[in-house]
Amino acid sequence: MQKKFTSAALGQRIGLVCSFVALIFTFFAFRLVNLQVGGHEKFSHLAAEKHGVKQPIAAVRGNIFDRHGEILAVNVPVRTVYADGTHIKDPLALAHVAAPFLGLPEKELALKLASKRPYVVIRSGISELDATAMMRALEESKLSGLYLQPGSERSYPNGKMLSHVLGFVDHSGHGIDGIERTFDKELAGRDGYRHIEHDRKGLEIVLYRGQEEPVINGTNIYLTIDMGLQAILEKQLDSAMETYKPAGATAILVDPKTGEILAMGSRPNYDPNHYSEATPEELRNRAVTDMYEPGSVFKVVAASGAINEGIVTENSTIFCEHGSFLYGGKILHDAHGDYFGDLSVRDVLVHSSNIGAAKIAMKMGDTKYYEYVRRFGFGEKTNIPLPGEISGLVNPPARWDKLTITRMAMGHAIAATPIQVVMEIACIANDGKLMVPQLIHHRDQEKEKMEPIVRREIISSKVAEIINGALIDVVARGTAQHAKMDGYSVAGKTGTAQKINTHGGYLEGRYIVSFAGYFPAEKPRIAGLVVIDDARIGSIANFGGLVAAPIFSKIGEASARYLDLLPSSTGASVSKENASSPSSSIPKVEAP
Amino acid sequence: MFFKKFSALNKPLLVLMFALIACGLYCIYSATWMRETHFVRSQIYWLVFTIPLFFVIAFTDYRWVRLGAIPLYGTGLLGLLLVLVLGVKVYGARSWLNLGFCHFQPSELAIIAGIMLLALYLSSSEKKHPAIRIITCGAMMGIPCLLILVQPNLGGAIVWFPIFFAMLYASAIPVRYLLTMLLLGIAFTPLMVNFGMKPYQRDRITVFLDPSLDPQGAGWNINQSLNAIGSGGFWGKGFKAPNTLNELGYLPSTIVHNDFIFSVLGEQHGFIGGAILIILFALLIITGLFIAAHASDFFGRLLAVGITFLFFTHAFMNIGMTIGVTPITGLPLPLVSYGGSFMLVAMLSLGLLQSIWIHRKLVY
Repeated sequence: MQKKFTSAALGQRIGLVCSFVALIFTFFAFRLVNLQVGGHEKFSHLAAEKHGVKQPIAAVRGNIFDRHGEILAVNVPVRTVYADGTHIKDPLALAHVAAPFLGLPEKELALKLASKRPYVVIRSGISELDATAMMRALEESKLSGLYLQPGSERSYPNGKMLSHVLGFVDHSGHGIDGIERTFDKELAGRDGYRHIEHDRKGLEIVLYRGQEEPVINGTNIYLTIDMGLQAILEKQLDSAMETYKPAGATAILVDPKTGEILAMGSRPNYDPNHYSEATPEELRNRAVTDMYEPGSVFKVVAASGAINEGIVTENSTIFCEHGSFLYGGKILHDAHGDYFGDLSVRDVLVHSSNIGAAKIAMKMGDTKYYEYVRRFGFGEKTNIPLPGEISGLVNPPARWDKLTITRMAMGHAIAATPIQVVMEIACIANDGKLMVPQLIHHRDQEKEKMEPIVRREIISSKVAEIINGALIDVVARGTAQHAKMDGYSVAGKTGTAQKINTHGGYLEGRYIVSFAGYFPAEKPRIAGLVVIDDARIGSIANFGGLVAAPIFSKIGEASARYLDLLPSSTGASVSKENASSPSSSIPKVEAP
Repeated sequence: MFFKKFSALNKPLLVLMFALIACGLYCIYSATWMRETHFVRSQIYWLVFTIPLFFVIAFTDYRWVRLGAIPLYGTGLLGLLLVLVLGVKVYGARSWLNLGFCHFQPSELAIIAGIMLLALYLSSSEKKHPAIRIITCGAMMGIPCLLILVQPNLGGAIVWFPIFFAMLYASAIPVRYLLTMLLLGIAFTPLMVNFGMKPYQRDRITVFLDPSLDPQGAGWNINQSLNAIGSGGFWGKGFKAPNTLNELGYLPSTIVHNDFIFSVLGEQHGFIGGAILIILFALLIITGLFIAAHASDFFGRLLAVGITFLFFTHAFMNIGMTIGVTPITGLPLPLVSYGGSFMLVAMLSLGLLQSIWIHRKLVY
């Protein structure tokens, strides 16, 4: 029986085992199909990921120049010093040699060098000179373990000058403020990549170096800023800061014909090369981020609007209530201790009568007046390419009370940014055409400069001419006589507004004073604004005409000399006819 | 007589053997050409030594094993004991013996000796009660198995079980006994895993069950192997293709030429290459079983079954590991993987198989 079992049944058992084996291997084959056919795509992707690496090639950031090509922001090659701990035998000796070059205390450096890690950044931003000197010293003393990595650092050769416009980049090269931020993409360019294959140890397999994606370096940007004018402006701002010790000061110069910003500065300011030391107060570009009550500068809106609408003419008489106008249950006073009777519309501006301006605005009516306020660009961003611009504050008539129009006419109950105000005054200088402020003169590739953009025509050139005449008178015989410039006629308007108390109401005896104007009045080349926030002088002298106007005058005189402008023939009374001829752009003049 | 025996060789088995050896040399070269070239050379040296040995054993009547099994088994046990004391530690396991001219793994000698002893005992104990046969066989297998397990070499110990079962199955042990043992084994598996395993061994089981658990650590090898094979696709990336995971060193470069040789083939020649190798192995094993079925005596049959299952288990565990269906154990792929001592064992086993075939009817 046993014998029978062995021969037949055992053969059967072996057959069974055969089937079992076949089954297992069939399963293996199935699994292979599953992996290699079914999962091919997934695994191929995974496999490709393993060895392909994109090694970035950093794009060179574009430089920033002024309109004449003076360098404002540039890349300086620097070296990052790092230590390879595995190469360091004697950290103390190495620290002793290297410390003076790195500007680090020897002990601190020795501590860092004691690390056994292969990559320890010791210090970045070491100048090439120091770095090579250090490497030479290391070589001489036969020490190793410190290595250099190339890099570049943004440098602003003019230091604090124009800091608010330029802004700065952070350590990773991203634009954080100013032009550096607004045009970050263009300036940064696009990093290129080299596709490299590396093995598991991270070593590049040069044999399989893949194709490269070219670097697109950043665009060089030329600003409309004229550093000659900027220097003049900043110098006057500095001296104003010294004289009046104000909380802040802002000045802007614009080419009224094109809207190009020629100079722009604010105080307090900072050095973009050391941006980390700047306080938030210093970082603020007050020209676009701060709003203030413009004061009498704003009277221009009511006057030009009313004349443009034909509601009044320049010679219409406005009764100025002898300096005390009871309206809406409140008495409105004229400043300067003047008590005017009948004034022409022109003289309302010249003498800066609050009552007169209020009455002109009232003649226009809420809606019409509001329309002109908005048309002049208040309550909307000018779209100057600087970060943080605000639109100011203009309430619509629906939210006005009875007094609002009288207050708004004299530049209260409204808040505007300096850039809005300067564009308003530039509009008068530009035959009533409100321009879009421009900061970019041209870019590297496109050699032709940017086209001026008219935002809108607000008043006819005739009306602009009338207002121009009035503004000339303001300087000639009105409130802004300190704005006069030797040899050049100036047109402009002062502004004085009490500072707003953050807890409501106004701060007694504290003013934001300003002067907005342009010159030469008969053929405006430069429009400008000077705002002095809270000058530390007695209230009796803290008027736009006494504080801001002289600064404007000084800036104007130096600018006119710098630009070599033709002096005005007959001082103030020059007809607007000459002025309306289109002015050529600012000539290229080297700074004296 | 020599020619007579030569012509009596089992030709398919012979062809399969050389096919696999050729395939092995090719794979070892593919796996290592970018780093080291001495592996192929030293594999050839081993072949030069083992191929004549194969013929000598093939032409010798396998019945010498009746006499040689016990001394060989004893030597195997001695080797396993020696390795625990004098062994060289390679990749965490003390399983190699330095013989001066080469490193040798006694567990591989022990397994072939164990197969011989089991075949010898099972063929001469037909009349005994199945339980006694099982217990005796268990003891024969248990001692070397334990010695291998403490090396620790889990794979080397696991190999014994399928062979053990296959031989018992082929020796007319009633199926109910085998089933009982199998169920007991399954029942004790959790205990084994929890208490009998080293943490790294447990990790291997865990990542086998889910390779994505620890892709950077314990699951590294299996994931890289899957990536390599999977990215090979149907036709593979080609011989010496650039940027294979193997070339880049993602397949563990220290053991790619033995444990992960199948991954290299799978990546380089895709499904086609892998399937051809699997078919070769399937044919080899079926031929082995065919020889077992035609053996002239019970002893020869059992020996053939044991040897065939030695091959099967290795192939199963090795290929299975690279394609993620069995845990990582580090068993070589017979005839294909780089490694001298297992090549020696494989050639010796195939020599015995051929001998069983040649001497199935003829009496010389």
